[in-house]
Amino acid sequence: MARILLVEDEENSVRALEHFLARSGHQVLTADRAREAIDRAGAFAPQVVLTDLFLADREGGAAVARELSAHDPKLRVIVMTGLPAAEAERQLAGTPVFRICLKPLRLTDIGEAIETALADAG
Amino acid sequence: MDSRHEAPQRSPERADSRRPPATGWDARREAERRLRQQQAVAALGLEALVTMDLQEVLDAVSATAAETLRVPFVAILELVPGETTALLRAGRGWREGLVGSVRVPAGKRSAAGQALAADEPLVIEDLRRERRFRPPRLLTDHGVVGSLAVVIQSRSGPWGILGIHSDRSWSFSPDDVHFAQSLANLVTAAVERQRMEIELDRSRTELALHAAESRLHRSDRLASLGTLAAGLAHEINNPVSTILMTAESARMEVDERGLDGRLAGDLDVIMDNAERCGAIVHRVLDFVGEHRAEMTVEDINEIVRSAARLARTTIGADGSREHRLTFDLAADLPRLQVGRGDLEQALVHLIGNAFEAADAPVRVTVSTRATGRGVEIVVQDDGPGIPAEDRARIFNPFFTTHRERGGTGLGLPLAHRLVADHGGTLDLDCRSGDGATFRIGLPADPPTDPSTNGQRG
Repeated sequence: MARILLVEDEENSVRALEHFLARSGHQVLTADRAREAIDRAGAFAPQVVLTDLFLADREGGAAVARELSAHDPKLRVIVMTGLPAAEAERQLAGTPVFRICLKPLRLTDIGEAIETALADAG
Repeated sequence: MDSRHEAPQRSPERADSRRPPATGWDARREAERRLRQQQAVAALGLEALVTMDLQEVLDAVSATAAETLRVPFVAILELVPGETTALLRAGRGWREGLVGSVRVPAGKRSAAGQALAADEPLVIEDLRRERRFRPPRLLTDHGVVGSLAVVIQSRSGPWGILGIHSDRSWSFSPDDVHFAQSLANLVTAAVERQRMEIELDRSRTELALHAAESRLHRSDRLASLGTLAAGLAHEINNPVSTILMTAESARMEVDERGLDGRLAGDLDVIMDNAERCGAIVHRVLDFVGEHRAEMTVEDINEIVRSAARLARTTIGADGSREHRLTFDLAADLPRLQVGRGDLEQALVHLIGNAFEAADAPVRVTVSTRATGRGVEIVVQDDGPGIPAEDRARIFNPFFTTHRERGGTGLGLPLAHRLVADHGGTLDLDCRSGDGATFRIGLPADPPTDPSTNGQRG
């Protein structure tokens, strides 16, 4: 069981992911904007952040990863994106990201990434 | 009218064929003259056709005519297209500044026009008594009296006139006329040669231009495809991801509740196809995406061998087809700075294409050689070759002739792209007979940033 902050603005993805993560036994907090996620993370103290690279606001997943990692070095950030790998890597250069997951994604891919991230955080 | 035969013979040495047999002395002098003329034409002819450009030939013909016939004036006139004038292109004896600039009339009532209209060389014994035309000022100003004019032909009609002029009233012997005609023929040959060289040059330029253009079009196509694919990838991957996750979520629910097997199967179909969409998008991205391979100094032969191993294991795994792969690698290749993985991939695609395009086992030969500018890698096969109608399309994305054997139509375009990223060229050699021959030209000095040649994904 872990605390997972899910930051995603696509409603149907949120539904499937939230359901899957909860069923896997995790505690999930959702947000659809970067600012909202950053503001709410303090009280929630997530171990893993699962965020889309592009969000409804301008800042996006990269800002979430930067700001939250600055407060908690043990936090692991997983970024999901529909972009080509090279472009995603370029946009996330210098950002503390544990893993970039390229869409389309299976829930089981996400589950595996989260387990790895938790094991890495120790 | 055959004016040369009408002209009265004034000088005993300028013999006409109708004259009574010449005396021994005359005959010897005539033979000597003929020999001298023939030697002059022969000497000039060879040199003219081998080494000289047209103007040099015209100058040499003018000099030879003047010296051999011992006349003070020679004019080579070139007809000006679309006009009834002719330009004094070359000559001897004329006042300074005239050669290359002065034009003479070439209409029906002119001397030049008369020469052009006649079937045979035009002989004017005494210009002052001429009534058929108005003598041109060029001739009267220089005190020309006797003239011989021979038309210089070309494939497309008369090109101009060779005029041989004397300040004396003069009848030309048949040998003189024959000599002038030989000189005119020489000019014809030089004119034709120049015309062919110009045409050849134009064809070469057009070919080079065409090759450059089709390369440009290819990279244009790739550039627009790259932009399109990157945008499309994002727009497709997101909803496909939602489909996949939602179907998977439902599939988990079905398992949990132990629902009927048909629903599970349907959800599996949805998931499989969603994943397939994703795979296609990623394959296209591989093709158009940026290749930022690290550039390192490499032994090209070693890359060729390693690519061949890769091609064998990835493509030659199908044991039913026993393709043969041979090498002809030059020992003296310079080491080049390349993106090793990218170059390997390009070669794997070329070798793989040779394997896949053939119904029967093929022999593929990969050879390398040093060129002045870098290294050339040739991938040649003895397969069915590429039909002329397909040659322009083989570098187009998604064009394939072997889709049923797994061809995606992205291998050759990707190889082309990867080679272009090295500042190199990949061309299909259409001259070869059987099979297909692809040539990779790699420059010794690649672009410093290979990604500047690539298209942004």
